[in-house]
Amino acid sequence: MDVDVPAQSLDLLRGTFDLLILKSLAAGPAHGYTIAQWIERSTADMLDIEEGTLYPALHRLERRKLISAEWGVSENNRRARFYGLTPLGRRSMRSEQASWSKLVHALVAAIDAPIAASARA
Amino acid sequence: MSEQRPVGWRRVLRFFPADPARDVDDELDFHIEARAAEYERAGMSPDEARAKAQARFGDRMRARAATLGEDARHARSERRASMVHDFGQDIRFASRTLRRQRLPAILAAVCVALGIGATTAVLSVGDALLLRPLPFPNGARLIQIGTESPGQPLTADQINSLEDYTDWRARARSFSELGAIANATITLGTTDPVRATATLSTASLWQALGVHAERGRVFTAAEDRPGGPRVALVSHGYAQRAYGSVDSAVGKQLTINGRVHDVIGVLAAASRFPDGADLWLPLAREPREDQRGNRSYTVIGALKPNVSIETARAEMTALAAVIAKEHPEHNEGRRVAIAPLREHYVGAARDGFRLAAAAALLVLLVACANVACLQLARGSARAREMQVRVALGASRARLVRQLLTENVLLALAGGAAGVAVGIWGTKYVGTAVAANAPSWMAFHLSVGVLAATTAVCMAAGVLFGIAPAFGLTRRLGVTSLRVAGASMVDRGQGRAQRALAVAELALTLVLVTTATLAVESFMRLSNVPTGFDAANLQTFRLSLRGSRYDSADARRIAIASIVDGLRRMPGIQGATATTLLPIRDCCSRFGFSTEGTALQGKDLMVTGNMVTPGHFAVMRTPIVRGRDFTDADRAGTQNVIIISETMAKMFWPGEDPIGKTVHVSNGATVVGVVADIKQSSLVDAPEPQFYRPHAQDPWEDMSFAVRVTPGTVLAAKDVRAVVHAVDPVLPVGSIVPMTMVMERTLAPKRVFGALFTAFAAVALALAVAGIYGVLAFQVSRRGQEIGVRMALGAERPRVLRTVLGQAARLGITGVVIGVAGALIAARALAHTLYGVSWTAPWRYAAVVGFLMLATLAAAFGPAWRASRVDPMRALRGD
Repeated sequence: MDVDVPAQSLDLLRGTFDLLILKSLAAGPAHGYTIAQWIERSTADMLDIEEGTLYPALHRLERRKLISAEWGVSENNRRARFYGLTPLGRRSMRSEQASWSKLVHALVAAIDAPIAASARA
Repeated sequence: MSEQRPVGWRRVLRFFPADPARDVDDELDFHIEARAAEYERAGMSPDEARAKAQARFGDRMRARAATLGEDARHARSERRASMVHDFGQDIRFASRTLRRQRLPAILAAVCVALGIGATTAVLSVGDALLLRPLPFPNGARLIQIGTESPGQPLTADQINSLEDYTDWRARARSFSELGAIANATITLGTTDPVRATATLSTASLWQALGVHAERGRVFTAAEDRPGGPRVALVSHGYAQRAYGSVDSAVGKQLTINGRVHDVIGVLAAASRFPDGADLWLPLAREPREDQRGNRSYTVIGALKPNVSIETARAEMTALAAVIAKEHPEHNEGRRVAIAPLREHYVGAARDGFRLAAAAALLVLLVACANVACLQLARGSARAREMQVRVALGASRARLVRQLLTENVLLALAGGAAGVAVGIWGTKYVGTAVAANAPSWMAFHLSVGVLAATTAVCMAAGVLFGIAPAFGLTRRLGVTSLRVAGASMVDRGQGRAQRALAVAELALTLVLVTTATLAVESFMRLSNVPTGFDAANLQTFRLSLRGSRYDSADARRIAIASIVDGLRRMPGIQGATATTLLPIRDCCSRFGFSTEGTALQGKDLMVTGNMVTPGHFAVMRTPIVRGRDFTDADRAGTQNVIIISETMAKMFWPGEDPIGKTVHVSNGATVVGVVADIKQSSLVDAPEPQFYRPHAQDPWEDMSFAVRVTPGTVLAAKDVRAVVHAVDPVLPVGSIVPMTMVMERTLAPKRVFGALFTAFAAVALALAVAGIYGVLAFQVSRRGQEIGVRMALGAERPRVLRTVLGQAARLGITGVVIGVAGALIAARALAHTLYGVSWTAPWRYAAVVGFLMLATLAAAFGPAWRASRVDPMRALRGD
């Protein structure tokens, strides 16, 4: 993922992306294309990601033992690599999800806060 | 997520060889194709759909590279994990195997432990004794200088005159500094004075050593001068005992010989020189030309950096010759010796140490041979197991690794036990080798030595342990599975085992022989006639101090009164006073001359003592001719002298010496001849000795010997009461039983005897185990052959004889080689032995007989088993 983003925001991006992948597998094993479709649908196609970046991310999550992979046969009888959540991945997904929600709520609260109030503080 | 893949498929697919690059390509292509298919379904042309799908996917090359990178990283961490897992498996498997074959494993570990322990202990001591610099800042450069004394061997331990020392210090260029010391007996304190020893040192001594005070300072040149300030240094231990803490010592005052001295510094335990000193005073003497003949100072110094001891020796030899020319009256013919200060401490211990080291190395060799033997046997016994594992697809590397793990575990277990043996042994050997080693010469287990010995033992164990793996895996194919284990065993391996057993036997013979020599020497020495009876003899020392003893009469009366008082104590059979007690106090020599004898005109130095009447009765030294001293032998009456048998024979061979006249300071008439005694050490050759009545030559420093009835304890306070009745401020030294003195002098020999015996016993046990192992193994290997022979008519006794004959052949080979080795070892040992002949053939015959018996005894078990082989079962089975 050689994206020219400062390291911190890269981490943030990566974390977000990883969380989306884990979430997409919560319902059961899937191959890469299904995962891409799920992300596209569930984010209303608002994240403009090159689909190719999905694969390094998948293999990285596999290395970190958050997901496991197996070769199988796709719905149209093609050889495809299926990914599934490991127990570790499921735990990681829940905790990441909770901290994301917290962050988002905090951000929303901050953004919605009246400007005068913040100036007085 | 509707995919339900058949489970069987996955199993099958898993067997496809992994090709990460192809897999990643497949995965990415699948994605792009799936996307394109979707676009086509939405109505695009195939080309358009494909182009759009590719655009949506982004840079395929970059995605592929990044994915492969992740895979590579993944594979690396997997490999690491599997290695850890395999290693864990090896360890578990190894410890299981070792537990199953408990006896051989324990034996091997014990061999390793003894070998490592014994060698480490002895070599650690050697390291401290011979290699490590003395623990002073200038330790590596410290030397000692000694002036030759006629009739005595020239060593650097000899004492020197202050005048010579002053000249050396001024003229010699090899030294960065020289210092001189002497011991002085002092009286410490006023109300309840104690007798103590102080070290008189020049200020320069501390520069020579490079030592600084722990608190305060050392002497300055201004203090090292007659009439200089009265100052003293105390040891760390003394400061703590006397003042409670080291910090409060400086500035305190001490009354020494009735005069107040200021404590100016404290010396740390490691800085005490000489060892054991607690109190130092400045030497504070100016050289006086008429005193050049008064030699009583030990001289030590530090070589300049880059000056070798040879250079210094050459310079000192030349300088001594120059000084001898300048002062022929005192220095004519007196050479000087210079040696590293270490020699002073090592000296006599060196030979003993070398022997112990040699013995320990032999034990190490035996242990290594034994471990090797055991490992070979173990390896052979497991031939079948290895074959099965090879057949099941274990790689050679894996087998070697497993055997390696097993043997390293074994060696580690042995090594750990070896450390324990080594730590204990180092202390034991340390006390033996250097009975009078200074306290700062610490005998610690040397980590370097330990590492080396452990490595040697491990190497032996591991090499011989994994050898079978190479032998097996090289030749083994699945076909060999059919072949019975027995015939699979390498013939060369059997030969190696026999050779090792023979080597062990030979080494054991060397050790057993030297042990008998050392023990016999010790026994002879502890039973050597000393010329006196140490049992129930209590001793202490006392000095008459102060101006009241300036007159000879006062000294004579004081000593006589104390002896008289002691005699009257309950439970006392007798008491005597002498200038120096044998063994305990060593010796002083006097110039001695005679008239009209074989040795007329020769100035001889002869050991002499001033004694009180009844001395020989108390010491139980037989009077051979003439009489003992009596109370009538006093100042003003005829000067009398008693001489030893050796002296009588030397001066008046074949004549009666009674009534002859000799000159010791003044003329005296011989009134008696007594048996020789061992004055300075038990190994002394008989030497001329004389005794004079204390009343005619009243010395002030005397040793007392009190013979008590058996079971009586001489209480220090009772002795003090007797002494204080004569003079209430006389300090009394501690009371030491003469038996303890004797024990102390025998201790090193005893420990050596014990050490050699222990080594020999260990080696013997190992060798017997080795012989047993070899034969047991061969018998079990040849079970089938023996069965066939018996089926063909061989009788059981014949089988028994065959196996025993085999053992005898091993034994004979071993002892023949061993006797040669033992002769060499005994010859090296000869000069440390006392009253033992190293060539006596009976000793070798006895040891050889003993070892042959041990060999046959070890062989009997396997031989018996061989003769019990059931021919039918041997024929049926494999």
